[in-house]
This record gives sequence, C-alpha cells and structure tokens, in this order.
Amino acid sequence: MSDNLLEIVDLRIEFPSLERTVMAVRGCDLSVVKGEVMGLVGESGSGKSMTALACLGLVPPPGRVTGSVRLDGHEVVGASEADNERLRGGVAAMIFQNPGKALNPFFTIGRQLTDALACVRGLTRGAAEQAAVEALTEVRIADPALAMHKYPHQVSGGQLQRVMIAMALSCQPKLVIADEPTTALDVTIQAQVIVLLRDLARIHGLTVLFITHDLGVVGSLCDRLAVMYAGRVVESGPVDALFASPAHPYTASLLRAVPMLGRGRSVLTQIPGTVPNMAAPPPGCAFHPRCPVAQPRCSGDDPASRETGSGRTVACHFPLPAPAGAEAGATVGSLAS
Amino acid sequence: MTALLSVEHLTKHFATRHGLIRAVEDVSFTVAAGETLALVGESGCGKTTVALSLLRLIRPDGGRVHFEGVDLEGGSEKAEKAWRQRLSIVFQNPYSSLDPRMRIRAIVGEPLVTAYGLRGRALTERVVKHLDEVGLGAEHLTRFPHEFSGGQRQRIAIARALALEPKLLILDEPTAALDVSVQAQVLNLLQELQKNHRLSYLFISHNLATVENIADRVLVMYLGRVVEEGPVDRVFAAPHHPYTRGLLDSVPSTDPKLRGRLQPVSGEIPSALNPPPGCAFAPRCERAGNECRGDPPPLLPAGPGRSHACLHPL
Repeated sequence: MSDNLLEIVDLRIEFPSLERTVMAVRGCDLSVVKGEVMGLVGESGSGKSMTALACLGLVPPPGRVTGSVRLDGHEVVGASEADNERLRGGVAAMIFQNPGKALNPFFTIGRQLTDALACVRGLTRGAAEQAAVEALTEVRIADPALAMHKYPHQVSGGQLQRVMIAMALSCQPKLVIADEPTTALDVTIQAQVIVLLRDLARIHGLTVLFITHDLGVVGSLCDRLAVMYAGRVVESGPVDALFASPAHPYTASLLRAVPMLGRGRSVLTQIPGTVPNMAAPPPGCAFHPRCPVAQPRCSGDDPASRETGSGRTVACHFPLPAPAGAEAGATVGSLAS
Repeated sequence: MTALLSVEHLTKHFATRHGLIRAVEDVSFTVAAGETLALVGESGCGKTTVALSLLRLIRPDGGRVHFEGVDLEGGSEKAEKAWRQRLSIVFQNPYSSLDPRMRIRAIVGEPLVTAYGLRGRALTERVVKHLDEVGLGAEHLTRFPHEFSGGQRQRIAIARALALEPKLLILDEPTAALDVSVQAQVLNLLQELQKNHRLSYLFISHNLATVENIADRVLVMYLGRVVEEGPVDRVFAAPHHPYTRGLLDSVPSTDPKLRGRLQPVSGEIPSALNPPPGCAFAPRCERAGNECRGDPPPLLPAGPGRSHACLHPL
C-alpha cells in the first residue's frame, strides 16, 4: 500500500475532430503523496487543467481518456458516472480559477454552500447552515453571517475565492485540486489566499494539487512540483532542490526567462519559439525545437521519464548536471537577496 | 532637461448610476526622452484611465497634458494629427486589439495610409521594415491574426504602434496575456527597440518583477492617486509608502526559504464609489493614525528624485 493519494499513470487525453486530433495530454505520470502540497506547473496548452479534470472524471466530451488515474484507491478512468460522482466533493474537491463563473449568480452564497453540504454530507438544513457559517469563518471572511445572505456579485473576487475554498473544504475532502485559484486576483489578495491555503493545508493535513503557471506561487506554497510541457510531465521533485538545480532544460530556461524581483534591470534569457500546437506536436522530445542543448537524437526519440534519486524524475536524454556544491535554494536565494 | 511628456493634475471622474467614481485624482508626472516610467497598482487604481486620458481616448475632467511642449487639449485638428503620430499605444490583449478580418499588411499599414497616404509598393516596403524590427518577415504580410500565436500577435501590435515612428509608446500590460516562456521575448524586444529608436515608454503593469526588469522610474498608484514615485531600484529596495512595502511583500518568491517573507496586506481595496476619507490606504495600514483619516496626504518630495504621499513613511 503506497502513500500516494493520487496516482496518475500514462494518462492520455485526446480530442478528436473532423480535421485532426488534439492530443491535450500525452502520457502524463504524476503521483501526489498524502499530506503534501503538489504544484503542477505549465503554460497554456500544456495539459495541466485537463489532467486536473481527469482526476475527477470531468473531461468534457468528446475527450477520450485512457491510462489510469487512481484517486484514494478508486480507478477514475472508465468508471461509471455514478461512481465518480461519489468521489467529487467527498474524496476530492476542486477550486476553479474564476470563482465568479463557478458560483450561480441567482442564489445566495449561503444557499449554495448549504446545498453542497446537505448533498455531500447529508446534513439537515439547519445543521448545514451552521456548518456553512463555520466554513466561512475558517476561510477568514470578515462577517460570515452577513456573507451568507449575499449574492456572488455583491462580494469581491478575493472574497468569492474564499467562498470557493470554504465550499471545497466544507465536505472534508482528502484531496483539493486548485486550478489557478489566484491568477485572476490582485497581488495583495493573491498573497492573502496563498497564506490562507498554506495555513489550511497545515491545520487539516490536506493534500493539495495546485495548478499554476507562476513559479513564484509554487515557491511560496508547494512542497513538490511537476513541470508539464506539451502534455507530459518533463520534470518533478521537491521544490527547493528542483529550483536550485533544474535538470530539464525547459525548467532551467523557464527559471531564467521569468522576471523575478531582486534581479534588477537585465536582459532576460529568452526561450525561442512558441508553445507547440497540440494537434501536431513535434516528434521526439516536444521541447527539442526550443531547447538550447538539443542533439539529433532528441528529434527522433521521445525520452521516457526516469528517476534520478532524492524523489526527482526527469524526462530528458541530456539532463543538466547539478552544479558542483549546489545547495538547495542557493541559486535562487542568491538572486533574491 | 525638458520632459517629453508632462502631466499636471490629471483628473477623471465617472458619473455612474451608483454615484461618482474618482478614477484618477490629481495625478502628475513627467516622462523624459528615452526613459521608461512604470505605472503600477492593482485593479481599479486608475492606471489604465491615465493611459486612455493621455491619448484622449477618454476626455479627462481636469489637468493638463503637454507632449513635446504642446498642450494636447484644445489644439487644432492639424495639431492633433501631429501629436497622434508621435504618441502611440500597445494594448494588453493582442487577441482583441487586432482586427480578425484584416491581413497583417493592412493592420500594420493602416496608420501609414491614414497619416501619409502611402500605397502600393511604398507601403509594403515600410510595413516589411517595421515587421522586420519586431522579428517577423515578409511572408507574414498576407496572413490573418488568427494564424499567429499570442507572442507574435503582440509583436504585430508593437509593429503597428511603431509604424509612424512615435517618440512615446504607452504599453498597457503588454505581457500580461502572454505565456510565461514568451514574455521574455517581448520584454527583450521592447528594450532593444527602445535602445535603437531612443523611445520613451510609459509602462503600465501590476507585475513588480517585470517593472523592475524594464523601468527606470516607477509611479505607484492606489485608488486613483499617486502614493509614491521614484527610481525603481531605490523605491523597491527601500519603499517609503506602506502600500509599496505591502505590494513588494505580496510578490511570491521562487525561493522556498523566503516563504515567511510573504506578508500580505490585510483587507481589500476599498470601493472607488465610497473611498475612505483621508489616505485611501489608511484602513489597511498598520501605521495609520487619526491624522491619516482627515485630508488625503499630499505627494511631497523626499530625497533625490523621490516623493511619497504618507504622513508616516517607512
């Protein structure tokens, strides 16, 4: 029995159409250990959101899902809709990027929270209402009793995202999947939500799969991360070790290409080219056309993901060596100080 | 040195069904030739309203804007045509700022047709020259915007903005809608173009790391007012205004060791319909006293090239 609450093996998601098939996810392997905050990082089109949806059996039609997603011992891929429905809310809950779209504008926040509680936990209306107020208190909403009577349009984006977190946690799930929950928020509000999630994860021993494109958010929230590119996980490992000595050229390039506070005025190391078109991904390693260290082999032979020790994996024929005497966090730390 | 652009006491209010929104209140700044001034702040602070007021895309309620010594308000049609050729803008979202039914030649060439009446081969040559500057080629002339990626579209938008060889370019969050791996390409391109053409930039952003990368000076706005101004390196190293400090402490770091440093400001941005009296930041500020809730503190000079609007600066 492993400690993996979520185990994804060779997940593939395809969207067939008349002209061509878009391969959104092309053999994604990912495991999330109980109690950890796992970051899933990637650019738009890398397949990170589809991977998250597949964890809950929510890939929209005509998406074809193959491979395996085991969530708390249940196989999600190929399971019946009724079986998967039991997982949602109870075992795993999801927080979406845009809380304004995830909530129903016609019902009060209190009504939507109590409905969810009554449905998933089978509480009576009175007990559900009480639990809803408690849930809102826990996410540090200023006046929970008042917030219960408000409609989504009457509260700010930051408060709405707190409501979404309250709703996700109210059913006491084992896994929370958060899909870019802070991307639409202002910087100061984003920081508040990160601190809130960090505290809640610690207090409840939550397992979190946190999807983002922001490396800074990963650094300040996550224990481990997996980097996705063109539908595959190209590198994974503990955040501090991975940021200190990235092994995959994509991770390394990304860390140098993103402006970071404390680096001063500089010319950024840019990654040439653009994110590949997933209807026709490049042959071999999908990153090779943009890779600074690509060799002829990379264009023909797709590297398999392999373990490199200390809980790290990398999918690259020519991974970057760890810098001599590299200490966890040293590279980034010196840049930030 | 005379400023290329000088803005004095710019004010813009919007009358809405729910009351008056003071989007921009008494904002003054200058941009020198070849300089990049960044305008930072969170949503609703008025930074985009400032940009649109400068271009007279919305009409300000008060204040004066001088560009190359000319007052932009109330000039003749001919004078307006002249300054519009020397002041240009790149919008945030290249997916909505390019007409999907126009080919690239027409998009980049439109300002040249309007301003100089260029046609035929002369037009094509100029368009190719401007596309080349942003790293695109003649083979792209007959394509439509949907055939390009986000980064390429933003290059097209930059080429269009540069077609009339302006002196000042307003950049309204030019990289916010782009993929992270492509942002660096656009930021580097902007720096290169600035060097080659001695351009001035007014760079609007909420991303402090990007601002640090590209800007010389920074203007921090909160709820329609300027709260701090100064050279980027000095303001970011030692901010005077507690809001600037709060913004800097809210930027998540990639170094897990600095996790503890993430110290968000409490509370939220107040409604612009009903701003707090006095300093708008006072309700969220740890240093605020009763005197902060009287009149809004004025923006006063403090040290070389710096100023702040705070009664209890750091």
